[in-house]
Amino acid sequence: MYMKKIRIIALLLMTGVFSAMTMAQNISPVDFMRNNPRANFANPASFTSVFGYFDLALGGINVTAQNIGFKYDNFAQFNAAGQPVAINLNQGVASLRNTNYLNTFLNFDIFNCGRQTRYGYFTYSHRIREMETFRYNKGMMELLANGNGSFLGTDHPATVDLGVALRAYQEFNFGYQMCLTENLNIGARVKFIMGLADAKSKSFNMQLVTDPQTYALSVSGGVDVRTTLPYELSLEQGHLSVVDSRFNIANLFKNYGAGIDLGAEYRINDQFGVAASINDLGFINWNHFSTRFYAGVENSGSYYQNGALVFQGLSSSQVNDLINGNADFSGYIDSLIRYFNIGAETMPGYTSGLNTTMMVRGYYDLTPQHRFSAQLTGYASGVGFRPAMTLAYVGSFLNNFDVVTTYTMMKGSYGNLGIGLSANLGGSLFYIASNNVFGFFNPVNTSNLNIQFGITFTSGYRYDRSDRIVIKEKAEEVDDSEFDE
Amino acid sequence: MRKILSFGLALTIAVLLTCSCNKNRFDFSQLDSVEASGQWKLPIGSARVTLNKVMGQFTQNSMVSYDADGHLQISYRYAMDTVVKGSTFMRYDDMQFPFSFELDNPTPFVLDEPVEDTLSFDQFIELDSDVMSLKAAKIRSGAFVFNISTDLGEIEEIVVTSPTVYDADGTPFEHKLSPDNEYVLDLAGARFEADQDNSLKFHYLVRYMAFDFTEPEIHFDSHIGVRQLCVQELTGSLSSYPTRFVVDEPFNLPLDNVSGELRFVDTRLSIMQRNSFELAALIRIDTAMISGGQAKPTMIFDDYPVVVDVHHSPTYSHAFDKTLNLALNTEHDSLYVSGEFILNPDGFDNVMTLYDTASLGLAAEGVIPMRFNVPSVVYMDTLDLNLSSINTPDILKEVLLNVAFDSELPFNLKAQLYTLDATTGMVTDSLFTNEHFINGSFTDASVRTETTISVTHQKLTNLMNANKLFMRFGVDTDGKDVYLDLNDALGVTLKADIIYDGDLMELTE
Repeated sequence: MYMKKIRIIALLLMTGVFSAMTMAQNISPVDFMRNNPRANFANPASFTSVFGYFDLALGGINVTAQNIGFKYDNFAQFNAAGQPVAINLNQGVASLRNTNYLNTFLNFDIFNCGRQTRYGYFTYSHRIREMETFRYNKGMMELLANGNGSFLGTDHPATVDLGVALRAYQEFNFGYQMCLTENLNIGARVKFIMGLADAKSKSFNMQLVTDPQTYALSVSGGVDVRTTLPYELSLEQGHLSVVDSRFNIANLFKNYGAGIDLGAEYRINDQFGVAASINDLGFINWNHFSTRFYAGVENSGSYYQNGALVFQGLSSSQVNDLINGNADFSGYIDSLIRYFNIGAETMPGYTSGLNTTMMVRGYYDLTPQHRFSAQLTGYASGVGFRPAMTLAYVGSFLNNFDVVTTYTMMKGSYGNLGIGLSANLGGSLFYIASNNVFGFFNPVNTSNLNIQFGITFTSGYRYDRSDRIVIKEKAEEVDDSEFDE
Repeated sequence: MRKILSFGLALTIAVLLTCSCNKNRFDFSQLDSVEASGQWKLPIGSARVTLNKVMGQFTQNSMVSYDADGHLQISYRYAMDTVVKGSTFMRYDDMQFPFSFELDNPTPFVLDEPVEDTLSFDQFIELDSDVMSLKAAKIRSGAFVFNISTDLGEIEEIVVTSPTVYDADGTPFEHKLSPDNEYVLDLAGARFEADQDNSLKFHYLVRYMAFDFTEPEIHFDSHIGVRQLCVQELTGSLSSYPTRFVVDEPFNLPLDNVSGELRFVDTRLSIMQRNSFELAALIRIDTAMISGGQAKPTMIFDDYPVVVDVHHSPTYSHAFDKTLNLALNTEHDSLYVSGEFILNPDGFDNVMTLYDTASLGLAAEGVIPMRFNVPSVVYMDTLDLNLSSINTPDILKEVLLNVAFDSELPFNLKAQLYTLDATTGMVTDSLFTNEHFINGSFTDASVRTETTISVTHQKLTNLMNANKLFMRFGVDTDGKDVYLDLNDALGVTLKADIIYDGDLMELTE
């Protein structure tokens, strides 16, 4: 009976995990390192093993590019020598997912430092972050490649569904971590944020309905994208221009926001532990050069019907022009474009939430040096919530080295084998990691390309990794003696 | 544990080697096409045209009109405003009336002294006419020409008078003549009062001086000539006066480029007459037909002659109305009518007054309602094309053109289209078969005909390269009598399935 329940729970858990494996996000082997203080960014309660650390400029550089859906090999046809000879749109489009993503994530740490005190562990960090997500649907690509022949009727329209979320900001954060009980660590990090740029599509959706009887084409939908950029832009008659290039350094220090990271880690026994965190819970108030770009069908004549541009064919006079060679195609197209109200307007400031990440992790220490972890992560990208599951192994050796391998499953990206190496050589901690090493060998077919590296200078150790509890006691002794000095 | 690590490391290396990429996959030197296949379904055009709109093109052609019910009709009117005019026959050609006599002188003698004497005699002239019998007349123009010659001594005076001829003032004619001098009497305004029918009397009184009479015969010659005598008003009687007429006029249905036979039903033929003679008359039509080309002539009437009575009417009035069924051929291009107009068909029975201004006019009007029965009519025309600027890329494999007609027109239409090379005159391709392209509506409901035409890449190329399109349309009314109504409409919807398969890069070239 007991085993049956376990099986059911396991089955439900696996079902949940796989159904939640949807879209890609940025999960790094560094998050699992036990000697690297940067693991603290994944969970502010993650125990920092070094007494203190600091880095400048090179502390943490993280570059991630994700392409969920598009596979080069699916689009290309190769000859016997393996050279591409043709792009096969139909084949490639058929291989796309219903929803596809192009993501980038950049992180550049300007300055980091942290130190153990008798009141807990304090950290400070100043970093610049950029995260971008572009979402496109398969239907749009199918329409471009296959035509509208397979999209007939109102119940099967060709849909162009795009999403854009771009955000860049600099973050100043202060972290605090403490051992609340013998087995429970908690941590928090508060952030003061200055937004650099933001773009988010409230809607970017067009529908093309082809009447199965008359083939009348009905286009509806609209675009509503709000942006805040260092420049003020205008869009008139389809022409995008900079209204006022008033860019200056001061513009980089506006658009204030705030956020918080919260985390906890609980040691169940000598082998098992769990951790959870929620990061980037906060907001940015964008109020400089906020511009709304919009497009939609408007009533500009007889082609307008019930909110849609309905094209039922050329008129008899236009057909005559065509027959007589007097057809003005650009004129026809211009007249149709007039039905799309495209423009930009300045808008009052707005507030957007941060891209919040939630994490739940369980781990098992086979020995004090070998840890196996399973982690579920959810990431709010601004155009969707993207869960992922990661299995990780961490080997920590000689108090100075971490070897991490991870395997991350995300929807559309199931082959992310990550490797991370960290070495603390005389107080200089070097680390390099990628959450998908395969990506470097086949970058055009990979769904995920990531690298993270940095140098951090550390001092002291807070525990002996051979025995977690004893180590902690020792660490406290060490800490106290050090402060006594 | 070490074994586990070693195994993991070996596995990782193996996976990396297996998954590492082939550099040839990024050698794009051989990449030269973007292949795609699919189908676009597009509405090409739609239109709805009423006959009213189409007939707007014929506004300059007054033959096409429509009645109060909106039914189209073609009207022909032919007028002979003056078939017969009184002045035509109320005239006399030049006539000569010589008169002479001789006096015997068996015993010539010589007088010692001259002796004055007189001589008188009458001369009658007969204004004979096959048409008129004159009792009285007022003369519009003309003249009598008098000539006298005689060897009767020394003429002192010749006075000619007439109790039947009066001048414009009503004074009986009297004039002094002299021998060997021609005298012209202008008759404008003169009146005649015939002594008997057509007969005018002139009395001559000759006073002369006689010296001697040595010749055995004495001669006296009087000659009256009638010159260009036109009667303005005639009192008398008139014979039956026939006038032949022939109408040979072009006749064209406003159906250019159409060939075949049309049976027009309920064609109304009207003859209007205006008769200011106070006489009865009649029209006798011997032949009335429409002909032309190689087509069989169409006789307008079944039986000939067609006789139409004409009564006195100072303005035009209907003399004849008849409803006919006409089978016309589009080759017909000539209307031919011949016959006779007969004024006063009963002859000289009555005395009447006629004026030279009286006349008789005829007008014929044919109204052909567009109610017809078309066994088969073919319309042929060519259309200049200039589509060569439109490329037909190889990726375009086939276009399925779907044409839907919603017809309220009461005829079936067959269509054939041929593309031509105008330079060589050769047919390069055809588009339609000779099937019913549009089914006609023979009830109040609109009838839909849907046709799908497959235009392959080759056909499309031929179409784009053609510079002339030859169209041949056949029309029939399914054996029914039909009306064309102004509100009849034809709706056309054209849509296309564009099937493509090939290199998209071709479209950018």
